[in-house]
Amino acid sequence: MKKIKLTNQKKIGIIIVVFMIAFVLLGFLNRNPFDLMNKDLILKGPSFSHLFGCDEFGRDILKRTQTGMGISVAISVFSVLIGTFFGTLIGALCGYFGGIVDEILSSIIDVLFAVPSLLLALVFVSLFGSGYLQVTLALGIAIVPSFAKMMRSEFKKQRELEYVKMAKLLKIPTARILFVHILPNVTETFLNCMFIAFNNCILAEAGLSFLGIGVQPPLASIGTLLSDGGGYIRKAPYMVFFPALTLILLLFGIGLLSSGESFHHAYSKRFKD
Amino acid sequence: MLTVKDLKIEFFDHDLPEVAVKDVDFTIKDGEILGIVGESGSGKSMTAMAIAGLLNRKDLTKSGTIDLDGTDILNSPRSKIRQIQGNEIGFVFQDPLNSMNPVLKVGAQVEEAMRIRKKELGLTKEDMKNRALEVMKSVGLDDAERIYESYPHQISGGQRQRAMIAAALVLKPKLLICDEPTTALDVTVQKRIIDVLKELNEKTGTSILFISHDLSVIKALCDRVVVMKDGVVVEEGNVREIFENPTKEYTKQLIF
Amino acid sequence: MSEKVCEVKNLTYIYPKSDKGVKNISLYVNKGSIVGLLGESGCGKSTLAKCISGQLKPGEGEIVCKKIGYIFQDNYASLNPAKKVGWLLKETIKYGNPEKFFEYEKRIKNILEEVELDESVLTHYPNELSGGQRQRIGIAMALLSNPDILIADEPVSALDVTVQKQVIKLIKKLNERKNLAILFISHDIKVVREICNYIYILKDGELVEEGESETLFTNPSSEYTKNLLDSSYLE
Repeated sequence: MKKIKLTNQKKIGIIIVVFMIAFVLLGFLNRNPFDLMNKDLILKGPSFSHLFGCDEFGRDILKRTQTGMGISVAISVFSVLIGTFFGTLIGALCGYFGGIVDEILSSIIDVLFAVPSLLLALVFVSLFGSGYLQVTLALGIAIVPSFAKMMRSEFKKQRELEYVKMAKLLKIPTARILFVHILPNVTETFLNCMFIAFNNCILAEAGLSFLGIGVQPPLASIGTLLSDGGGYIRKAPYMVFFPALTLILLLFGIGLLSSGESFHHAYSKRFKD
Repeated sequence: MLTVKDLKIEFFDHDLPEVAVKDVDFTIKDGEILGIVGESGSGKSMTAMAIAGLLNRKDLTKSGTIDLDGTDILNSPRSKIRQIQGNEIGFVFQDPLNSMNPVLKVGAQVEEAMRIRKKELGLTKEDMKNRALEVMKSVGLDDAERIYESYPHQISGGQRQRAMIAAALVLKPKLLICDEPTTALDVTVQKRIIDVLKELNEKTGTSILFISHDLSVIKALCDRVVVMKDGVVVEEGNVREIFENPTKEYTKQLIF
Repeated sequence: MSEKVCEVKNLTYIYPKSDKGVKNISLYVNKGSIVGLLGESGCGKSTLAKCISGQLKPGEGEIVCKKIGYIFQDNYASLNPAKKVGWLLKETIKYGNPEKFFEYEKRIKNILEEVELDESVLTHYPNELSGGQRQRIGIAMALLSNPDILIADEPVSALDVTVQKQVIKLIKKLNERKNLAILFISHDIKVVREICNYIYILKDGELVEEGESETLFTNPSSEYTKNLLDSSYLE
């Protein structure tokens, strides 16, 4: 009888996120191709057939926003997965074992912390060329340090609790103690970290694409849309407005999800002796 | 001197009202030591907090009266309660480590209540220090000068609890409320604290409301006892009589 | 006369970078007896328990013990809050007694009967249960690995008096029924007097007195024990 109690903030967050996912998925029903140029439609304002208007090549902005959002989200999801996996692993090892393991891994993490993620991405792109795979990998690595730090402190706290000592006395394998016994107890921090990392990823990806080292045209991402639209902000403000609006909505929704009280609600029901 | 009548406290935690204390009546006479004994969830601490005027929370409702020499503590405005706190009622909490501020010296915390009322009482720094040292010595802190200059972590648990008692006593309150003051302490230290409280009661005539889950401690200290369970008073009377002939089944179970 | 299930000889363990710990401790527990280890906070009784159960490696001395079951003090922290009771018991059998894992359902049923709990607790999270129920589950988990000796580190000090009595009764019953040796660690003289046959008293890491329960309480030889008895308001 695990009760998951949602705060209003989280409810609104879920609604917004579901709405944004639906928005992206509806892109598959939108029959305007995202890369078809049409010289009759250049810089046409919003209309019924093109709800968000058209860009400087006459491409449908609605479709491009949907595709771009999808790509941005996909990149962020995979970066977060990579970052979470390695971050949790390193954090868990550091926090649980302490001592020399902790010192070595923590110093590596500290060095990684000192490198700005943008710089890291630039290094990656200059080494392996630009494209979404490189961006995903670079962003994923950039997440690792902060994730590892959070997980380290959580595991360190849990290690001292008696249920862990009990598990040790039973000679349960360490990997099982770490990920089956302890991990469910840190879900809250874990999820919040993931949401925050996801938001940062979306922003960082937009930043990279804005600089032209992320997703390459004609493929779109939120970043490229903003950077393209930026040039026409006086003539066709809707080119920047709609992608920016969707970006803000998504970030807001995810932000709400990670704020406030926990998903893992403390159980109020008690039995009497 | 203190009369509690029809005290009822209700929580509103999960939309449903939860009764913490119901129909509690008792009195404390001048110079008396009254014990409240009960297990966790019996509402004994809630009752003590209500008497000390510490229940100014939005998530609970309270009814009844708590009459301290003519003032109703339960239904008075905050400003009035603040006058009573410290002046007429002193409070000692369970955990001497957490109830002290770790970054302030012990002396400063003992003086706290005086410092707030410095102007009305016309006290100088010297006066306050002298009074603090005097009270600290009276509760058995023999090297009061050293402890006055120490931080809480530099002194032992027993000394901390004595310092907290001293802090509650600086303004010579008529009533001292002790909420499980010895639960976190070792038995040998507990005995010394109990002796201090006894002596204080005999010398100055301060009334004491002593709350504990341990009936044998209550027996060693108190004149009368109130047994509480699930927010209700189960039994009340002279400690010796209750100990020798408990009328209620529950009280029997409490005696080890 | 009877068989020793646990023996400690001249054990010394000093915590790194301090002078605290236990010094030169010798004790033994016979099969079927309940031995008490009594002392105030900081006297080293938990340190001793950790050494015996292998959580700490002693510096000097010898420990010979048969299979140990361990009951922790804090029944909030000793059961994993994110897992249901049924899962916890199953996990304990899986790793504590793997050869019996094929009949784990039967084992769980039996063990719940032994600690006098209803089967409905299996589907609950530990936090949904009362302190007494949680401590019973702690005992069940310790019993599931078929120990020869049960080390109980302050098993009742976090509980209410009425619940304490029930848990003590249960421990006594287990001792009688299974002839299980118990090393009972506590700071509470009343509890120790109630349950133990033989008692060791510890102060500042050293044994100050030992003896049969009755003689020790009626006729203490050391000054410290007298002081302790005097402070406890016994009847």
